[in-house]
Amino acid sequence: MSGAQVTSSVAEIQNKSVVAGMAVGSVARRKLSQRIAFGFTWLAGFLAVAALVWIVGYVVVQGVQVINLEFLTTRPAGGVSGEGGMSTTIVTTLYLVVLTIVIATPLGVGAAIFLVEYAGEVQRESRLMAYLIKIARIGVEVLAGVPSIIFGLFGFALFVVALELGFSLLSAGLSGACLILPVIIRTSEEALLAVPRSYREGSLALGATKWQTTVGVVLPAAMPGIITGVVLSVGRIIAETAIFWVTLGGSYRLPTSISHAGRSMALHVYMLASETRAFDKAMGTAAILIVTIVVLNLIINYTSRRLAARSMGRGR
Amino acid sequence: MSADFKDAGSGVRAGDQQRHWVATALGIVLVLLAAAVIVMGVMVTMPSEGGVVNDLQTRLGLIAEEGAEEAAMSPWQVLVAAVIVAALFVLLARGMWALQNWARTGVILMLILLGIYFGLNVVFGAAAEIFGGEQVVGLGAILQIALKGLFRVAATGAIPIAIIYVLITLGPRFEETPGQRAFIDRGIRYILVATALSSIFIVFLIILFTAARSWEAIRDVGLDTMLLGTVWRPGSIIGTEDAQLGLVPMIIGSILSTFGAALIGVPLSIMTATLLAEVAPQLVREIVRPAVELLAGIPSVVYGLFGMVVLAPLIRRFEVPGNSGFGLLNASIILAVMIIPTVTNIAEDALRAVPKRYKEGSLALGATHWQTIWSVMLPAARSGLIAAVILGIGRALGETMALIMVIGNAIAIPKPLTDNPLTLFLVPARTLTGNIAVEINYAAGAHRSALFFTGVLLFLMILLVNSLARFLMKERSV
Amino acid sequence: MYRKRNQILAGILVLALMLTTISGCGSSATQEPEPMEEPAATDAPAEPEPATGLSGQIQIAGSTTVQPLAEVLGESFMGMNPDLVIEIQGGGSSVGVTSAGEGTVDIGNASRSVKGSEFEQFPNLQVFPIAYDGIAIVTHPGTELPSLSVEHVRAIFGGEITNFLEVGGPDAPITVVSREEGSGTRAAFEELVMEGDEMVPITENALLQQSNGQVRTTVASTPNTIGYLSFGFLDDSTRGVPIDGVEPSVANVKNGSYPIFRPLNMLTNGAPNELARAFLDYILSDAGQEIVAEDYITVK
Repeated sequence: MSGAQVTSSVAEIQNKSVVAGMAVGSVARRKLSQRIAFGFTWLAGFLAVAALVWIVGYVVVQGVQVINLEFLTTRPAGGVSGEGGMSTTIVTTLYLVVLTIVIATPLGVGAAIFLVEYAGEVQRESRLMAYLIKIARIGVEVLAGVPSIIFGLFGFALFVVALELGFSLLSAGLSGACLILPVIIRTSEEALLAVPRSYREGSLALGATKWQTTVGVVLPAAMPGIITGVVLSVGRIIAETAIFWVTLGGSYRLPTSISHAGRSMALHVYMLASETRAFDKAMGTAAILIVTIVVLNLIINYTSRRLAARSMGRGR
Repeated sequence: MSADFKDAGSGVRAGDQQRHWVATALGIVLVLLAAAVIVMGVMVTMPSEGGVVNDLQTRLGLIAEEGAEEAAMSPWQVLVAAVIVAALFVLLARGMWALQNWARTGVILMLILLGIYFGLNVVFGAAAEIFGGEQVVGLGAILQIALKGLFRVAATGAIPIAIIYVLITLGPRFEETPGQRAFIDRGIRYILVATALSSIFIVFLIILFTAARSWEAIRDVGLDTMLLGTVWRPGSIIGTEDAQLGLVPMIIGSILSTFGAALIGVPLSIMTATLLAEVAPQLVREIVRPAVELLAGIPSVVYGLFGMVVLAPLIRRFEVPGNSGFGLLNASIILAVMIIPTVTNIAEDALRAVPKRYKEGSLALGATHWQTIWSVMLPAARSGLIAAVILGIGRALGETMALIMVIGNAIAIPKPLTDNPLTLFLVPARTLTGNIAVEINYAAGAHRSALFFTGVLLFLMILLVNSLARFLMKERSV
Repeated sequence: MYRKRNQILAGILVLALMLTTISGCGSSATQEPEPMEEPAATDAPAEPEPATGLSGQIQIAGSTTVQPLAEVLGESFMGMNPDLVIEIQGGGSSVGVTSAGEGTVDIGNASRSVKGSEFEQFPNLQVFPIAYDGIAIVTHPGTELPSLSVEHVRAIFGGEITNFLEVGGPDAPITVVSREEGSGTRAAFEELVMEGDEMVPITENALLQQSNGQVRTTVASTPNTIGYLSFGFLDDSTRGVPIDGVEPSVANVKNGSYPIFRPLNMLTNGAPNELARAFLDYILSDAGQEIVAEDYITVK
């Protein structure tokens, strides 16, 4: 027999046994087990959605009862009484978000621009640079996987104690920036890679320098993707607790400078729930948190859909 | 021809169609702000009796307060300032459409900075004035603060505006010769290299600091005591010799809670992934996938709150002596829900990545859809699925805040409450992450150092887990 | 085309510059661009009466027992000095000692006495007792217990007695709620209750909480729990257990019949700074001690 014939008959035998194994039992029985199995998958999907609905629903329903304009604009009255509202926590969270974004975005976008646009030629120029770039990429991967409490511990050791910044917005902002840096680098890289080469080539052909090309052509085209990354990071910062627990301090007062301590919304939920028995207020704060995250998620979905439509509709 | 090239050399247009999105948005905001400023300016300069406008006028110094000599500002000044500020905004808005290359970048950057500056001004001012004093906000107070902030920015905006002017006029001139352009290019390249290396720099710092701080514990207490010791009683007093720093209870707590989470969460996630990849119609997918993604975004304190308030009483229904509702079961359930998004996402990707011909071949041989999934697709996606599970485990190991709210934080090694080994999960425990969070505030000396060691341990564990997952995922792409 | 547009823009901008600066000078809005200003600390001479008109910031951290008391005293003191900000954080008595000693805060709170080893590490610590506070044994409101003896309490928290039935309560297994090791309340509790012939360690199965507030929350919402709380946290949400027949109350500590109490201390590294001195003087004055007397025992 020729080689081909051997192969095909071996395959035939294998197929036969597979088919034999599969075809055991009547079609009806196999269909029944399929229905059962699919039933389980539907159950799983249902449970996942149900978990979401239960958790979000419970918190929002309980929390909405507490929320009114007064709750949002009064400051928490004391660390252990649970009275008052959550106004200062909203403002503190806002400060925190702005601070971390301002620190992390230039670093992250810059790194992404380098890795996408410049890394190629730099790698070819020098072995040292090629090595460093490889390590930088590994560094981003490693950073992305570090649990947030480690960032908190690190921030505590470096910013709060060693640099003597104390419990402050600055320490918290710097630690939080470390957390979102990999997110921004990754999403910016993806956004930059998605820009067609023709854009760059066309621009360079017209006589622009590399930097002019990057800033004037590539960056604007990648902007929606980068903004998506930033919004994603905002969502993470708002939801983050462990880092700020150890770097921000627990003061409920409004910080009037970046060297003051404060309390973010997520921290406030934690404090209310554990220290006071004001579970209703905790639910209220949590409800605000959830609504914020949902809105951010919607924004992300909308922009990424628009981004996809754009790149498909272009057809350049 | 040459005229075309000269024009082109002074800047690159990204195509007339491609309106800069951010510029458009900022432009619209600026135009609206300009309108608002005009309206407020006009309102404020009109004479009025009492009410919010009168209040505003007094605050701006248009009307002399009792005892003051004369008004600090005349209505004309206010109106002119309002018009100027509005015109500024409109011009800047228009400028952003028209200007090109790095001048535009500079303009946008300046505007963002101005915006942040202005926003901070208003917010800090408003917050300090409003929340520092009374409890409730009045609309008039907000308007007043906003207006004050606006004028403050306009007055101090002189410097940024001057910078923008320089950028606008000098921008094109600075890029005329190839030498200048090359200079900019090289300078930018160095800056970008620095930012790219920042990530590895941070990792290096993290390792350096946590490892350095943990050295004291390794030297004084010993690796064997910490990793094999079963008692954790650090003693609150500084530098005590009685401190017992054995991490075994915490290690077991972390392992058990992760195991429980995986037990509940992994089958659930893989079946959901199967649902999303193979079974569900488009409409259902549109509902389930966003729902799963939303689960990922919920803050962990909210999960912890839910566990405290809802799950704990439910778990207490199990009539087992010593069941307080706080413990490994509560933690496992919460963690399972938290890892569903991670595992489902990657598992779904893994299933979708199975080559179509496997599925088609199997169906052609007469297998049912489910048989195909079970016998062909899942095995084919095996490495991706394992990677998903491992990443989920990594996520569970790193979770902190939700766990410290529901797990009880006892320092004992978990032991079953009764003869039934399942009651192991009703026992309170403590995880490595929880240990750090709860004790770092007050720990001192060797105790604090031991906590840093815990951090190093966690870091290494998660590094291992993630590397394994990444290795498996790369292997999958065959 | 480019140049012309730029020139027009530049011209208008310069005009705008001039006019806004003029109107900025004239307006009552301040010229200060800094959104982040720190109020300058002024010196205030120490006076026998509570100081007024002070401005600046006092950072306080430490015992969660002292925290609510310090907050009430702080609010009152801030009322007299509107430009003064007193920030109070928790963390436990050990945090209070360490941060006072390291100088991270102006005043550290501790709900226990300072140990010898701590004085060794921070030799310049100065201790100011501001009140005395009792420690109450509390249970979930659904658990009715008759009086307990100190030996009973020791056995319960040590893990020897595991069912409320053994001490005259309902038939239910006991869940012990205790504090983290950095807690001064715990240290005082261990010293006053757990020290019998030898120190009985608190059972390792206890649910550990990070503050008085957390203990109260847990005991109040979880059935069959028992824990210890500072008097200042006693309310209807938990049930106080009489010790040897004596109810936990301020009066009973004063007349000496309730045995479990300890000093509440404020600590500074070396002599307190101007603002801290003023605050401490206020607390130790009659006005301050009047506030203390509401829920705690005064030092006089």
